[in-house]
Amino acid sequence: MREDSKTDPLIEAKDEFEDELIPDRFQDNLISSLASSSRRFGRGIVAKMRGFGPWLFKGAKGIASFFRNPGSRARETYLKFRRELDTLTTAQLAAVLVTFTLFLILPLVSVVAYSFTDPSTGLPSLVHFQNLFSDSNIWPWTFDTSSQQWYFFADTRTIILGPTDITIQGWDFGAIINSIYTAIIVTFFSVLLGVFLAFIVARYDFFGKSVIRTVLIFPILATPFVGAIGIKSFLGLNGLINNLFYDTLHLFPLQLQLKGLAAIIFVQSLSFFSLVYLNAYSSFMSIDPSLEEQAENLGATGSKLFRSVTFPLAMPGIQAGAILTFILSIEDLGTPIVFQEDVQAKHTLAFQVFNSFASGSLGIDPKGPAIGIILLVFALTGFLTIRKYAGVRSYESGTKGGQWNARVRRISNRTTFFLYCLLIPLLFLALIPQISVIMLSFAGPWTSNSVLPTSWTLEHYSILTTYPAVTQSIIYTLTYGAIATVIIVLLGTSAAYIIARRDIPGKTYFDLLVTSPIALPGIVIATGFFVLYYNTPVFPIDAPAFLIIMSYTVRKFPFTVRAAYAGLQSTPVVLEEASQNVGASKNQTFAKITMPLIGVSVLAGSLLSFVYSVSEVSTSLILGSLGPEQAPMTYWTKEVLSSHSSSYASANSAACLGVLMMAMQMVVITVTNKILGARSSAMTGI
Amino acid sequence: MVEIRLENLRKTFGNIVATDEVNMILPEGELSTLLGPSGCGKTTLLRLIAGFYVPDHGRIYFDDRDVTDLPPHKRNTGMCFQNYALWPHMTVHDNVAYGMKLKRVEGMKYTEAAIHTRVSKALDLVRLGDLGHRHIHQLSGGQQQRVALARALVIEPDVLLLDEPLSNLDAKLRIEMREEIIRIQSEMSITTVYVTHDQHEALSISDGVAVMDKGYVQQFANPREIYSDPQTVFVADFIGQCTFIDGTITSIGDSIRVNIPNNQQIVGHTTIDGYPFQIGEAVKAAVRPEDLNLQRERPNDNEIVGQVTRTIYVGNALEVYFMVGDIAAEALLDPDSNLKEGDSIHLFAPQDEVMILPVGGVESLRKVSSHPLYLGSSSITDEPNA
Repeated sequence: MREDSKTDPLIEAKDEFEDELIPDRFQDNLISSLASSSRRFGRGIVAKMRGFGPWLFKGAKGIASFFRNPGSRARETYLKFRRELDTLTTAQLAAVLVTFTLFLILPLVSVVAYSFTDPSTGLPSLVHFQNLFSDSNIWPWTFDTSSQQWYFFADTRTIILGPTDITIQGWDFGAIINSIYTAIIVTFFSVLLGVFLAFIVARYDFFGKSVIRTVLIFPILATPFVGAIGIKSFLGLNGLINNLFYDTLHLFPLQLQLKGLAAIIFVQSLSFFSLVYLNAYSSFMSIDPSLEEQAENLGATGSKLFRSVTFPLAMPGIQAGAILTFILSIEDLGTPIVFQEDVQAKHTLAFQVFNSFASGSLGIDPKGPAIGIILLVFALTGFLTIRKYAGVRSYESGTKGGQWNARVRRISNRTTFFLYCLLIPLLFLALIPQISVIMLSFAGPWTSNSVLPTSWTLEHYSILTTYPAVTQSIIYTLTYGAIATVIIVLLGTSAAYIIARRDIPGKTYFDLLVTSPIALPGIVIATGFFVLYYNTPVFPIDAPAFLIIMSYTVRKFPFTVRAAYAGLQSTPVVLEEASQNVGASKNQTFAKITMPLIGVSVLAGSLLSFVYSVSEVSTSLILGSLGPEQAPMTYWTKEVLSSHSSSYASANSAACLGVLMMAMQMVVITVTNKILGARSSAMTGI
Repeated sequence: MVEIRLENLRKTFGNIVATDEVNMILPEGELSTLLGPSGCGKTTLLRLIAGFYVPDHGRIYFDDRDVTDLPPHKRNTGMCFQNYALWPHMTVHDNVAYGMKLKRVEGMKYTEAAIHTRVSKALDLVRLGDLGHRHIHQLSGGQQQRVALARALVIEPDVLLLDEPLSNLDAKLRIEMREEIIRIQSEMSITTVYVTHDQHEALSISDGVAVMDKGYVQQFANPREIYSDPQTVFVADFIGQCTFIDGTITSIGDSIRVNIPNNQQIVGHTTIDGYPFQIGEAVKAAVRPEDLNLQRERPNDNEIVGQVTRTIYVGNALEVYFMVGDIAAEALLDPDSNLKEGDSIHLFAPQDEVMILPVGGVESLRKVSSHPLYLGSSSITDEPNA
């Protein structure tokens, strides 16, 4: 037998062949690919969680080792500091640290302390948390001691069918679960929309692409609050969406209404997808094209290529965007406030914190700080996860040499047509926040069934000039923003310089500190300000102006830092060394060489900080409610919106204020886009 | 194993002509090299064969199949990129197995076991047998190079395409990997197209070398012919070293007589059959420095007189730079030669070592009726131009 097969290599080869091949069936492929991707997903999460532990442990060990030998360690550190720092740098470092300690760390610590203290005894206790979890607004399972029974409070009426309409609202499981599942769904939709658009823009070239790209820039700076104002009127039974699709086009079989949490999910998804879009776009663009070409060469195309090579390589960037979306969704205060007429919307963590201030009295409902802790935990975990993997943010493919043949494919006119059929509704959806607010601000009387208002008018804009409270708040806001931006530029460039050019001990912690405000919830910071500083010279009653400025400074710090850091990274150190070599001191070099070179980046970062300050919502609303005379624009926008004045149309007038904010945002975004390009880290501040 | 036939290929990018008028047959089972300086179009040509570019006009055939319009994943070629293009999110094993998982034979796919066996064999072939579980960043440059090779070979492609595979390695590793590539290529007898700018590499591994400049293939022949019978000044200069002396033709016959500066004459031969030389045409007399001798060896050797400008001792030889009239020339002489700057030097060049080359480059080649670049011809020759 063996003799035979040996002498006929063809037979042997064929046997070998037949053993190796099995039929290629679609079902098998589908099942195995689903199984393997879910396995990989699960393994990835487990690996990340496992990696978190040792990393925290290492950090703790580092800190502990300092205390193990404090004497010599302190001396070592001191010497290192002396070597690296000079007077100017020490002053800069001190200024940044003092600002952050006073206006970020201490407030947060005081919130933690407050929430763990029993007010009657002054001792650490969990009484606030007990109260929290027995409030059915917050937590659905409550234990009634008198009847020794668990009660479950939940509103699961998600879809309510009326005679001619269908109302979608979310499940109401209490604030904690509500906020979490809302954030998860929002992240899901944001990733879907953001990655899809980023892929199209990154990999395809088609007629009108530059227009699409310009249009996609605008949602980037949108705050959900402004968008919510417009969307709320659009979504109503007599809103544009129903008028367009039900009354006019007859595309919907029933009128559609989104209320409560469903509305919040809708608004937030449309506001946050651009974060993921920006991150996904820069990830796709930084993938070495030869990695995809090699896969093509070996037989992969289309979705197989995307699933096995493109998407995994873009994952780190997309994950960073997704995590940030989750955090921002959980701490968003603006949207629940706009929809507060729906009970469900009030059952969100952010709103509950706001509510604990609404009484305006000297004390606050201790629920606030307790909730704040929960938010803080989510935010810190998310932030550290992003930063931990920021180093592995883009896969260092370690490829050197060769050509970079960018993979942008020109698609045919026919395919472009189909693409636009898909894109135009999507873009309409993506821009609903902006479109709705603008329309609302110019809208005259609107009959209940028409798509567009019967007339357009400018009279709503009178709110800007004829109401002294509003006009004053606009001026105050611009002032607050300007002052905050000046402080940010001075301190932010200092911080960036120290991180980029000096090697001081604890540099990574410093870096984490100055970029953390992106993720830390504004409502918790505001709570901290209240707990720590209310009724003190820093925060006199009815005069929150100073703290508003400091809150803007601290919260919008990261944008300038990141921009300045990006500028410094692209300025080679040798330029500064050459200056010192011919005789300029470090300070002179900083002023004459460094600043001019990074000036443009710093300008871009400062514009971002300014515009984000002006449209900041969480601390503005909370601190503003404690001193309305000095409150900024966003506070008065809310006031106008929820007022039922007869002298002006509340929603429309609020929209005018929203348009003002949006206009400032659009100007800034156009300018910074030119300067910073598609560098997502500088734009989003991570 | 297939024979690759390129017919009249042209590829432009906007206004830039990357490669033009390429007519070549790359024989089955042989290693053909595309050699030339940066920007000469060799990588463009390779990518045309791989399918990443579609030519402006011209056709590409694998045996008798016209593959010009086939996308890259249907051509059954295995390509190794200059930067290796190893996927950082997969292990070595998964990198190599990728292509096998996608491969279909008559509608059938490979079993897991089969894939594993073949991948192991491929890794053994490149001597990386026990590194399958590692990630790419845990490998050295040479190991990464070998993974890229294994990945291209495991799918048993018809054609192997290598884009400057050794340029990222240090000198010693380069030689080692060169031997590996030659061994594997001859073991598997796979048609290989190799792109490089290093002429030593090209001469040492190839069965056929295509020397390219500014988008055109100037000569496609085996290494010996390329070195001893270059057909243009560019080829003569690019491969090895060459001394060029400008002159004008005085007579044409079995050998060609050329007037060179300082009233001297030189007699040489042509390397292009069929080139229409004319009396009075400006040409370059080319001779390799090692063929210049201080002694007359044959009665009809050419004698060249010049003045030494510089001598450099390089251990196994003496490089002597001298001037013939206004022309700078170079000779490679015995290290013990007694020459110094300012000396007058008499050198002898045997007639069959002196090549008379037209100065036109590609334009000159167009005048030769049997050459693929011949104006007015759209057909290709059966053998590399001679």
